[in-house]
Amino acid sequence: MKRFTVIMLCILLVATALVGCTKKEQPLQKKAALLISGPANDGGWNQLAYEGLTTLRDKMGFQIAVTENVKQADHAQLMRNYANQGFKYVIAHGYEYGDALDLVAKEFPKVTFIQIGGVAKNDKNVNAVLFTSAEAGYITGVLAALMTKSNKLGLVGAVDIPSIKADFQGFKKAVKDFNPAATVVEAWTGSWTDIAKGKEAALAQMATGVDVIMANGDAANHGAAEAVRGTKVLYIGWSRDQKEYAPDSHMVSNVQSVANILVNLVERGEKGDLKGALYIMGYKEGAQYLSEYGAMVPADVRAKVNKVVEDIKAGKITDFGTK
Amino acid sequence: MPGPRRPDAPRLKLPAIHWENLANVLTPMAAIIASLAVGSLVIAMLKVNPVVAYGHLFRGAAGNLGQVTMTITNSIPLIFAGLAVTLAFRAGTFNIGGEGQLYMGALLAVWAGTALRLPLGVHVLAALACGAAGGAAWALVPGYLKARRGFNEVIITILMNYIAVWFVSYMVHSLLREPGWSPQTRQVLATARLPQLISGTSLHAGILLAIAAAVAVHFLLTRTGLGFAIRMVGSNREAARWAGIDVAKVTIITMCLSGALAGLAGASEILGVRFRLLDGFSPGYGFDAIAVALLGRTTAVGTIFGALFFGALRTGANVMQSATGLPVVAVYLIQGLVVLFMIAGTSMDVVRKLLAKRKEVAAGAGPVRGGAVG
Amino acid sequence: MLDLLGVVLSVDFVFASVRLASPLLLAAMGGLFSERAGVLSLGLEGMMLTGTLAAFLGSYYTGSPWVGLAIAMVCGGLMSLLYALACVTFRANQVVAAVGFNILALGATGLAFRRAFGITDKLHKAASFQPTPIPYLADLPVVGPMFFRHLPLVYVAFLLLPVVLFVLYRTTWGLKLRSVGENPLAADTLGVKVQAMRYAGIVICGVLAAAGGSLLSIGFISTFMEEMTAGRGFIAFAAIIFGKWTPVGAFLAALLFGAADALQLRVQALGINIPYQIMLLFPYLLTLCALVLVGKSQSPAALGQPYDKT
Repeated sequence: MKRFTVIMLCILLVATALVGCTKKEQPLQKKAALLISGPANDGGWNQLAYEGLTTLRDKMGFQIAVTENVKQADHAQLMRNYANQGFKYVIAHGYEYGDALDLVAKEFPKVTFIQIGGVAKNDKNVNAVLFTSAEAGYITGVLAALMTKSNKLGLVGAVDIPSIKADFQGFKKAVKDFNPAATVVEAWTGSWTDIAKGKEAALAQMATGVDVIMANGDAANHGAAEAVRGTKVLYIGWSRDQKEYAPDSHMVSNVQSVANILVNLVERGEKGDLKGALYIMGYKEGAQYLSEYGAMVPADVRAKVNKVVEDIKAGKITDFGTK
Repeated sequence: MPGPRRPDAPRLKLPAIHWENLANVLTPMAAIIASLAVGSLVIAMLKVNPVVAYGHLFRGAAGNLGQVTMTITNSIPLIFAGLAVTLAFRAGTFNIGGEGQLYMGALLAVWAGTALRLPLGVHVLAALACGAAGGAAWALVPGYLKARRGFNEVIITILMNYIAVWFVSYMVHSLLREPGWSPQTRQVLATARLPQLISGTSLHAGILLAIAAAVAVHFLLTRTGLGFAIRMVGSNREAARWAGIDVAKVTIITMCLSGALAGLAGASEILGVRFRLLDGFSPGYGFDAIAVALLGRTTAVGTIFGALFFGALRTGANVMQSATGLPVVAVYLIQGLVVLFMIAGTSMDVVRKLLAKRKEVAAGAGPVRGGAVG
Repeated sequence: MLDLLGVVLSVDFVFASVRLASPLLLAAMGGLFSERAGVLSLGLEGMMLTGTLAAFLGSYYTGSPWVGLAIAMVCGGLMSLLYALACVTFRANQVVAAVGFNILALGATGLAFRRAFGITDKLHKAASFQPTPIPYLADLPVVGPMFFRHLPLVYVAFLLLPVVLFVLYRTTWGLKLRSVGENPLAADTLGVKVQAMRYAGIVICGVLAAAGGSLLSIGFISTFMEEMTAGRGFIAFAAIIFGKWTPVGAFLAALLFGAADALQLRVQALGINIPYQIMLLFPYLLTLCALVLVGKSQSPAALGQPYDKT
């Protein structure tokens, strides 16, 4: 009986709470919110987004908010929260937010949603942005194909997600085009945080004679860079300029600028020119670019790679092996 | 844990019972308050005003309809998984395989929801049943190994957790993967989804199922022959054997029921909230469930409240973070502290122990097992 | 197939196996002290993580990995006191205590790292241990590069085995520790301080696990990331079980898991792609099969049971 009373009391409590609160939607303000699935200080994918968000604050005067370590179950409600608080832009950083965007965007037609790394556009207020990972993989692949002496190239990936897969496919296509004699091996660590495993994966490749390694995925980058440091093996970084990871081995990094993407999209949005499309952004749009070359890359190789970059920007190369 | 419940003798109308219930409420309350207090010191060290931070935490958990419903929705899998721990515990079995069982439940639920073609109503029930079956099957292995071959279930279930998590990840990336950009399964069909209770919120019918499950567990434990056998086995295996109870059979059945509940945690989350399976499906529900059951003093009703508290903490944490910039890991700290304070509180709960002893003498019942669970 | 054989017989493979096994070894050897005293070592993951961060911060601020290691061991020991308090003094269910403890460690390390560095685009690197070839031995053919060109802490991990064997089986203290894990009541009546022995076992576990953790952040790697132990504490726990709670067994199990990891990465490097999920569940599946096939292994009789003196 006592338990029954307790349960009834609880239900009553919840019911009053439900009645007591009313849904208030604030008018839209110059505010932008970001949802990321990991910590903002991961030195990779999530941090890129966080820095993009701070760029909106510093360059365009937006008020910003970020939620880190977002769990899948909370996606929709967090977006609703921000939309209710008058955030004009809600940015979801990753493919995993697709379903929640589909759902919540309908409830808040005036709020602009941006998904980075996914395809959840709805022709109204959800804009999806994909990096052209395959194109970047291709460009770095050209460099690797031209620089290898052993004709053995290594790829180290963290978790099997589409953008990393596409990157690797582009890389392999470039090697096939520019140095058909070379072979490419790939390794997956299965973790975003296991740096030691990233290093071991790279060391395992180096033991078979691999002399150029490209890594993609936070801990994989850290680990692979640690593996090549102090050796003659060359390193290609990803997501940010990773020269300081391995100064003597670093040939180049494919820098991904979420900041440029966000500024680009938000500027369009402010002009009323953002209509819920899928944006595929890469070298041409300035969303990706090569960092400075390391000193070991000779001028003729630089010229060849730069030529490929120009050809891609001009639309002359379109097959990156992903079809 | 409140120790073995009283034997099935008619309830004694002694003040002791009242005190015992009070302790069930007071100990968790004290643990929560203590952990928030210590947490506030840490928050202050991070140069955030703890009062403001907790204000946001509370607002985030219960500030408006959306947040309240979110808290409840977030607690649904915790209720199921917490009940799984509670039920097994009452039979003296420690099922810490909830995480693996709910992954298998989610996997089978998503398979049933995407592959089967059934009419509305039937489909969702079939998918839930598949989820429960997945969890039960995954729990059968440790249940059997413990009951018939004397293995330690803690070790077996831990090993099986990891196997399930990575196996499900493999399935999501291979056989069940939807064609297209993202490594995820298809969405379950509309016929297999749990209905939404309040439109514009995430609250779904799973909460009704969860409460029904809690009532069922409570009823099972207190009003049925099987429940009596479970409690008997839980309080003293030897005595239960002497009393003619097939201890091995009861252990296996309990473990399967427990696994089914954990499977439902995964299934309800899939059919009510996510609709499809991705990597990293569970933020550790199976492990939080242990804390939930502890906070609920391994009673069915208590588990609901424990789950609501953890659901509120997680839901509120997101808002606290966006408002104050405190990282979400601050809440992990509070969660850990709650568990440790709860342990301390339960252990030092002298008053209840004394009362329990007096009652025992009065009732002339068998010895109460010493030691506290928590 | 021939390629594979070549890999297994290569110097590099053995070198890497030793390297990959050593953090597991340190943690598993520590865990043994706790388990043999009758306390489940499920808190290993949290203890390792504590060590990983403490070592990094210590080395970062002082510039010396040795100081970092010392700080890590102290912090690991202190942190494990919390686990001991719950398991021994409060006689908590050890699984529950471990769940609380591990999540607390995750929260504490994440917050401390954030408090120390905030969110910057700068790479934070700490001074790390450098490989120390052992004179003469390192120059031996084949064996030298396999075993004698490692980090100092790796040698320590391997030399722990005889030490642990000696302490557990050849000293009175070890006998007492084991008796506490087998039959605390009998031990108590013989005058062994059950609670104190269990505290000691857990603290040794924390110290060694933290040393294992420091091998990650200032050993093979010189940076820190939240959750960078990535479940190694639980693998060490599995290694103890796989090794039937004996030092030699746990030692071999940790080596096996290290070798399996080294092998899978080398198989991938040959261009054979096994899904990484399968490789990640492999140690657990292997342990489970070994348990089931070999039959019930002899765990310490009082493992997991709190001892109530009254």
